[in-house]
Amino acid sequence: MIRTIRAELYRLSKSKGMLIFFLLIIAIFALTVVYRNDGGISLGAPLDYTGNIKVDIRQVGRNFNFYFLMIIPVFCVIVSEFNEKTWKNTISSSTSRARFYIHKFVFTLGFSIIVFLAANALFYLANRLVNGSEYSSSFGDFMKALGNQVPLMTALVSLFIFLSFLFRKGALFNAVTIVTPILYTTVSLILFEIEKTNKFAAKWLLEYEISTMFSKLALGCSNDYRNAAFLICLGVTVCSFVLGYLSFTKREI
Amino acid sequence: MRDIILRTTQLTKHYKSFSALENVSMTASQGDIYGLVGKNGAGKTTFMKLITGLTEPTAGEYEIFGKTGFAANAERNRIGCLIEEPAFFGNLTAKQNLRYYCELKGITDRGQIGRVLELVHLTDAADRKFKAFSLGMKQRLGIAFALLDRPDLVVLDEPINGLDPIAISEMRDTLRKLNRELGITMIISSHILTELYAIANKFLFIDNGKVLREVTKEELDKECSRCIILKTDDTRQAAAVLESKTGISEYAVINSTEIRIYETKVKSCDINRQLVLQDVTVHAIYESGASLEDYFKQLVGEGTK
Repeated sequence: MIRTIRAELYRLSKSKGMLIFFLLIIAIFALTVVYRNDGGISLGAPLDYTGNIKVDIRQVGRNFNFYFLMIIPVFCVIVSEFNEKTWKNTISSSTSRARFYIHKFVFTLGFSIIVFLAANALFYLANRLVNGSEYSSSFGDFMKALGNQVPLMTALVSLFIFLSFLFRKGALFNAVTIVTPILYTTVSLILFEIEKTNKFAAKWLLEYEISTMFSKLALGCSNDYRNAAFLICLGVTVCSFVLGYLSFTKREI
Repeated sequence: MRDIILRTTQLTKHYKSFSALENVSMTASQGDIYGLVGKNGAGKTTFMKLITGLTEPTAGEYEIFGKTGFAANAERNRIGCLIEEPAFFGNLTAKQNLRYYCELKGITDRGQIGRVLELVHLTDAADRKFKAFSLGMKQRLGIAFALLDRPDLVVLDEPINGLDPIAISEMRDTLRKLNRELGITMIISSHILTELYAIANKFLFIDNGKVLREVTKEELDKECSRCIILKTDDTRQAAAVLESKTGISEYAVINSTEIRIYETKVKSCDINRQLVLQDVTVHAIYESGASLEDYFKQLVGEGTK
């Protein structure tokens, strides 16, 4: 595993995709710090909150941006191996398919979560230094809001890893991952219109839509909502891991 | 006796209803350069994919360095491969690609990168991106990768594809040198028979996923040399007549219907007369001196009958 980490970090250090990835993160957070307002670059549903929440935690509520950003490391680490067919080099001479999958999964997930936490923590520090306590919360409150999003981020990256091993083609992987949130919202809204009476399924789908979960988990929600969200994330993470493993180790490539 | 590096027993691979490889058994010993000969689609690459773990066999098993099953996986780091086309990261240079694999395989001696690039004459292109490489350069980098961690067994699938005549000659010399000086065992596939003949000491002829014949170079030389081919229903009686009535001792029973006589002083008409006198049915008797290509064509012809 240590060898995989060293090798992948070496390769990522040479990747233009990763340079773009870090520049985008800096741009997103820099706009918030400079304008002292969240959402300079934002995607997903508008924030829904009450009370005086400071700009740093409001920006954490907009971390749905990371849904799209995290496509990049998964692409660079895994999809590129399939695009360039280099996975054969590793499997034929230094490891088994199962180990290849597990090493890639652990590295990509670990790298993504560390970048997610580090980028947000650096944003907190920059905002604190530039804008002072008037625009920043306590570090504890900030990390609590951010920490609530970690299971969701884990589930999403895990899902991306599964899709990368399932499709093994860059164009298909990109298309599906980018379109999924749009498709999800469209289906939920169509269902909302179709369900004339209690609209239970549609409401449930909209409540647990990805950008809504990002904002609610950061800005505050009921314990029931948090527990349900964590349970969904756990389910997605476990299922993605298992399905990805099976699709790579059992299928003929 | 030399150690057995690779042994396959009834190795079979089916893709749904298509049989890519059927009951392939072979043995490669320490220091062998083992040539896999076959047409496109004969099953050479499938065989290589099986022994390198890129795909799983439907039936049969293989033994690498005396290990089978899960234990064989642990021996994979002793194998260097180039299967199908060479694949590397296009945005990295040749040196960076090899550095990545050094990290992945835990090779701490970075000097090895320069050494393998020199072996395949790519030192000048070390800092050029892989995507800018010609087909021949890609092929050479693939071979450099296969040699990176000083393997005990090298598996090369069509390694001279895309190389110009000078590069082919250099590659041949490099492979011979590695085999002679470092004792590296090699499994090499090619449909350029003359090239394979120039370096291999053992050959496996495959067609339609089936083994046609496994021969050593000496056997191949003998089979391709000038001989009289005798076709008969009763090879046992024919052999007895050859020995007792004509005094021939240099002959080989190829199969149940064919005998090859390598003695140059006897005439086919004299042999024919003796056989007929002893009531041996002779279907055909003729002189032959098959080239390697003719030999292969003949084998494939027999295999498809």
